[in-house]
Amino acid sequence: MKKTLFLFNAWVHAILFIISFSGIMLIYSSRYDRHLDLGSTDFALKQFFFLIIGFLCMEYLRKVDFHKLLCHSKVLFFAALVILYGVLLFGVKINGMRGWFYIGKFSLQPSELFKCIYVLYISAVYMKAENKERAFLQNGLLSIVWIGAILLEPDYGTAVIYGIIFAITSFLAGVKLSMLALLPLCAVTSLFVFIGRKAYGFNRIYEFFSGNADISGTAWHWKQFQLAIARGGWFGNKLDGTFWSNNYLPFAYNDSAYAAMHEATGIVGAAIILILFFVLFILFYRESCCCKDNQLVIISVISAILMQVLMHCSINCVIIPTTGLTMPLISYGGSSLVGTFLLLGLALSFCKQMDSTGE
Amino acid sequence: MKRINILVAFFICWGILIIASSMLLAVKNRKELLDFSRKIAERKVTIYPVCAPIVDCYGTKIAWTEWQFYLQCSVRRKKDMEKFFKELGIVFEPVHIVEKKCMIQNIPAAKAANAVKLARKYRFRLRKKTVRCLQKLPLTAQNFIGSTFLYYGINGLEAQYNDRMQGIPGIYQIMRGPSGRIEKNSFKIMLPMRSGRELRLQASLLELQCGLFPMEVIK
Repeated sequence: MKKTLFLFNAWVHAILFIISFSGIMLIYSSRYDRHLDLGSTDFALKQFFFLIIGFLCMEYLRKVDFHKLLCHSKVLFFAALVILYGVLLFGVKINGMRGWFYIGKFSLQPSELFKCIYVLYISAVYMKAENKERAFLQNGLLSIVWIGAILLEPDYGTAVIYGIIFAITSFLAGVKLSMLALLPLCAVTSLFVFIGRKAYGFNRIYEFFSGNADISGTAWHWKQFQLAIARGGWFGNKLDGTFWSNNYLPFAYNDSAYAAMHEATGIVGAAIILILFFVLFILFYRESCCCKDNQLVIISVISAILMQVLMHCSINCVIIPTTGLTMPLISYGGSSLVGTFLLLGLALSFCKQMDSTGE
Repeated sequence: MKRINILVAFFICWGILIIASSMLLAVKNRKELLDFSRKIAERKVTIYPVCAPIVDCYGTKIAWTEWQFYLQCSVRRKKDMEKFFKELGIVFEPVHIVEKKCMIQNIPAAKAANAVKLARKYRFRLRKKTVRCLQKLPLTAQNFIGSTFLYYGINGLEAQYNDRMQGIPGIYQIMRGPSGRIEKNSFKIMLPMRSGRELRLQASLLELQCGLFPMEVIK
């Protein structure tokens, strides 16, 4: 059994290593320096620094006893909630979003960092509860408060991800489908609130579905996604040939990472990265099958990561309307990277405990 | 737990949808999208040939064109500029200060190669311009050969044979983005550049210096 766990850990670490370093390469190539005629190292070095921090956090969390985590989940959840509302008062505004705290030279985004606490808490509530529907209502109310803080920043992409995490966890916990039907209603209501508050949101959604997109206006972003993907072809333009990502693709190192990766590596490279995420999911899925008790947390965590990847890719492939969403482990952003590693650390912690108890 | 299997199937279908739509964009609609990208990024560039020299009967250059490098940068980067010139081994003496905003200093041709390398380190953009040079000649000979100074215009042989020596500028099409990066392999020739032809005089440099001007030039 120990050998199986060792192999599982080795595979997970190898996949994480490949994906993270692909991300650093992508950031390097998409930050072109016209004076050096090369990719710029400033963002790539920062990402590497956060990769090491994230990796250390993951290793630390992996070694923590999951019973302790479950015990403290309530305290952690409410402490995180206070910080999420605190950022609205004391946070810094970047790109029109008040969602960051400045610590020295670095900025931290609590909504990205606290994903693991959110997943842990709502899973813990479901695991302890005998009446799943009651737990669903309790989690639902707390999720509205949690997601409300993120919507006030306003960070719609991350809010959608939290909503989906809640839906998936509730679905896996075995909540009745009739209760789950409330979720689309909530989603539609939130959409109307969003459209009511922001006129550009309505235009963006209307033009996406109507097909009468104004290329110089709202459709500019997704036209750039399409052009970057088209330029990649089957095998891409190599890392030094990412002309479109350097010049026209908005936030190529961040919100448009999949399109930039497609331009650099083509369908083959992008598909390999996507498949690696699926392999990661399947590895955790297989490992979670050994112990039914912890399966909810493990699958919720890994689904949250895979869901964000799929959402990001769908936005970049113009399957769903555009919103700012990072690609886990690939996109530039310290908080996003550390937050993803914390999620993985949480899942690994539950897998490790499962091994010692499940045997 | 059957719900997990439903979730796995849902994720796999979604993954397939993403790869299929990527293939649609990168394979099926590729040509159409590439044409559109060309429309956005394509720029026409005119490249002027270097003006050909005037030589004497032995082939010694009397009037010729030289590339001159110069550095133009914001006054805010004065300290960097000082370091740059110190490292290059040139005394820092900016020749112009345009509206107290930017400074210009020429770089001698001998230091040009080093300056290009060093400019990358300091993230300066070296600019270059062509300068028409003339051998030291008596005033009458200078008027005969001509000059291309800004305030005097062109005169003498320079003006008479200007078109022949200038050549024909080439028009090229390239893909260039707002960051200034040029797409590799995007260079298309619209009109090829033709270099100018040199003008050979029947007289030697010494004869010109003595005031003996040739009656005709060898074309």
